[in-house]
Amino acid sequence: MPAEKYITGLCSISNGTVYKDKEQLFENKEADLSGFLLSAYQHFQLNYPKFYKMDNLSKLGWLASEMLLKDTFKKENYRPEDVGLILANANSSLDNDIKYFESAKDVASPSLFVYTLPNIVIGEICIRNSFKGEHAFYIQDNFDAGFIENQVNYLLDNDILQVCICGWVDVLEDKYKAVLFLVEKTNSKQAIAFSAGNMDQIFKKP
Amino acid sequence: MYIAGLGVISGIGNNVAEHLAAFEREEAGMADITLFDTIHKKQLPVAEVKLSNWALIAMTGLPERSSRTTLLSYVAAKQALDDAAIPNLNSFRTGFVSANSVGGMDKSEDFFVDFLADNSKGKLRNVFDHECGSMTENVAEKLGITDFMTTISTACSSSANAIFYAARLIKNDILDVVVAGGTDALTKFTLNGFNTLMILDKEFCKPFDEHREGLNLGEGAGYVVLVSDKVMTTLNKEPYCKLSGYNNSNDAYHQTASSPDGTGSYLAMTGALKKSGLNPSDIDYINLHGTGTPNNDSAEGTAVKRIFDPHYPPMSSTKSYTGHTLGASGGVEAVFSALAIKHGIIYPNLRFETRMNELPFEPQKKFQKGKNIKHVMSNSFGFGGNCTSLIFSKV
Amino acid sequence: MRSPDVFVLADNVLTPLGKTTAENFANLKNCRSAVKQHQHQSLSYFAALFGEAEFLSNQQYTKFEQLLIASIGEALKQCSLDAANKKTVLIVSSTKGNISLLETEKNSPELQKRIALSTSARLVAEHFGFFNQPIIISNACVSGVIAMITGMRLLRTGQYENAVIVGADVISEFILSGFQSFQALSTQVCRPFDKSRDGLNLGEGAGTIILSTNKKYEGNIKVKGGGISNDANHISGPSRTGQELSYAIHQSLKDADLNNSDIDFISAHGTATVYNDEMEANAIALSGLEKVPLNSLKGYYGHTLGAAGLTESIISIQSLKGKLFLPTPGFEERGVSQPVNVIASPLHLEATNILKTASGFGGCNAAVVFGK
Repeated sequence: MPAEKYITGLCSISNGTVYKDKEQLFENKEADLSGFLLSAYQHFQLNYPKFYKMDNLSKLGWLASEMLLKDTFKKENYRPEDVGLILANANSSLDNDIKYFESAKDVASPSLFVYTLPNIVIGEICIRNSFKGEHAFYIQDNFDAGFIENQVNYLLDNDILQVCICGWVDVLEDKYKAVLFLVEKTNSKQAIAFSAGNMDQIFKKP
Repeated sequence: MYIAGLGVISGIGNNVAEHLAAFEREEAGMADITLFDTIHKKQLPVAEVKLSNWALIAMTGLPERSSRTTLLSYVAAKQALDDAAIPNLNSFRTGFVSANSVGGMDKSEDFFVDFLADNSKGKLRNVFDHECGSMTENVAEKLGITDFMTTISTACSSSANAIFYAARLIKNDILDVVVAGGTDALTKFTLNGFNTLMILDKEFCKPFDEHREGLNLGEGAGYVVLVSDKVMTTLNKEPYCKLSGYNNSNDAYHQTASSPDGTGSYLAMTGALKKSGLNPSDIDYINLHGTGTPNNDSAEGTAVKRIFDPHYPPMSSTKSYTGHTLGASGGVEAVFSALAIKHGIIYPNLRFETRMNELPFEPQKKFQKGKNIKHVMSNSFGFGGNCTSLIFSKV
Repeated sequence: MRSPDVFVLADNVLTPLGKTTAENFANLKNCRSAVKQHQHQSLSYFAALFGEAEFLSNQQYTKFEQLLIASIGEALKQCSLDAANKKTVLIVSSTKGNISLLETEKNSPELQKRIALSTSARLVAEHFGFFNQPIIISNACVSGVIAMITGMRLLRTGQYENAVIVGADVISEFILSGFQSFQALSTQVCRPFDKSRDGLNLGEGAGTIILSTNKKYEGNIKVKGGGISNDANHISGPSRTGQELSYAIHQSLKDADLNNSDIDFISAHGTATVYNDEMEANAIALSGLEKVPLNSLKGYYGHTLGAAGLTESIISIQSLKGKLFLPTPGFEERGVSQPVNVIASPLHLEATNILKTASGFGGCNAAVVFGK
């Protein structure tokens, strides 16, 4: 019996702007990506030293997850294994791969090599929040809301997860976009129905 | 990787300007021990920073319980950061990479004496900051650097390693600005320790001299501010120089002695040259590690001969002025190297008289400035065979 | 409503030990290993690589894509499945795909598009005429297992009837230098679970498994269940306790409607790094499976990254069918804390259900169950 599922939270980061639940929380259109991510991190006073070691993809995804969950997610209601992630992008970890490859010409840096896999951003979010549930990282030309909807539905309907963070996190040089959805079985005042249509709409217009 | 700021404090001065003056006056910083009571008083010369802890506390505003290592570190690091004068520092990913070998030992050794006598005595807060990392954390906090910090501790090559680690952080686009270098304060622990190794000179040291008898301990701190290309373009000043080469290699010979043919030194220097794409003949001045011990100077000299023969650049050991500042030496001497390029300086090797028998070269005897110095090599070789060589180049 | 059974209808393993599953299995039975010593500049290392002249990149397809195409082609030959069938989906698993193009081409938007895994998947799909948009998984070393689990679920929900699941990775300088920087490479042929293990061997290969819910395949081996978890501990080191991999195993058993006593054999990840094998052994013990015979195939094939989950599952399915399980080369004396049952000689066993485990960077763990 498929459960009712809701998007109880959103976070969108692109074009130098951070949106949470469709509200603009921060803007910095002057800086390049590294500068923007740093300024956003500082603005939100996030205090997580591991941030500085991350590559831009992980920084972007992690930042988006922090904003997504802040004041919205009631972690105490769930066990670590109940929460998981389904993420996708088009460029995998290519942004960091290129940097790693440059470093390897001189001395290959293990601290850069570790970020040459796209699922590491999932790892960073899990470590930060102690999320131990199921996860997967998919590569898609464009955000495939229908596919993501099916995956998340399966996980929540079969009680493999009780909560799923899903969406898109992509970085390649100065082009970047993150759109994350918090999907739960519990309704809330601002929640909207979880559907491919809703995700698509939000993806196009944060 | 540009060097945009410098800061230094040692036995010959409390800032860059004082150092330049002391170098020109050919005035060494060694004297009798005043910092603490020891059986070696009046027997072993040391190069103390000429400021008491109280004076340093007053200058820096750091808490009274601060270790001298922290105090010296902050003075030099702050100078460097102020010197770089980076506008909008907060918008850049900034790091602090600081090295030291002694940590908060100056405070711990006081605690220990009381505690040993009676284990209900001794102020526990004196050991609170014992470990090397605490020095870095305390200074980073005061400097307002929150993005990234780390501590390197590899004996006498510590701060040289800190500098090139910082360069790699910038090169790999992890940080934009890094304050890098090191600090060490004089302690009874260090003095007694080096004395048991029998490598201290009872007179003022004579690096690279045939009749050298050992080293003099010093203390101090030296930092450079490394910045990326992007940051350099926002600054209203010329960089001092850039870090064009570096290498760290291990001698793999003995914990505290260097191999007779100076393998570690040789590998570090040739590695740094290769990294920078320079030939030995491109080096205009070598700031030798030159501690003044029979063993180091022999090994280093042999390595220099293997690489530079028959065209030796001018070279000297500034430890003849500052003593061996241990974990700070790489940082302090990096500052001297940058100044050498900026002001065209060749530092003299004080008290040098007789060339070493086994070497076909000798260090400089007189202070010179206004020379055309394009490339400087700075050596730091530490216990544990940890050998590092840095090359600085005019931009 | 019970989900339909998911059957394995064909498979292929493409490695330096052979172009078909049968050829590979025959070589493995004869204790042949693809792991050899290689030299790259000043680095001497052990790996299982294709010959230099094999699968040379051409104008149309890179080596990576050729591996995918060759493997899928062989697998399709064994069954009557039409790739163009509207109820068939292609699933591709890889960690780095065409990353080696960075070594030979200049960085540009065109190169970036060419390197993208979507491009490779599209080229492969077009080659065979797959109707539906391919699904691509890139999730470190558990990609292959996640690909099979994803396929199984897509079939259970009826969205598709058949899934062609392929995985491959090519060992390039990019990958070699990376693992080297981690000091993760062994100085010898790797020794999973052994006291003297000192790291992994890298390997090249491709594997394809074709699944279907069509009832005409009743009697074939089934993919019964899967589970995935995250350590939430460290991005490159494994969990300290193995609890999370144990959870993934638990999930896969639950999904398969089985107990741990139903598992007859385990094909472990067993990379032969000090940390992975210790963690994996802990996980297996936590799951109450320490007595179940297990092996690691990485001494034969090296660690084939995006292909590993697939190739090792397929070989284990062969073992299941042929009642012969292969020993773990390199294993002599157990060097993990838990008394796991690593087999060091061929095991003739009438088995019903086998478990495949995998773990990877990013703290990921996955497990899948196959059975009669």
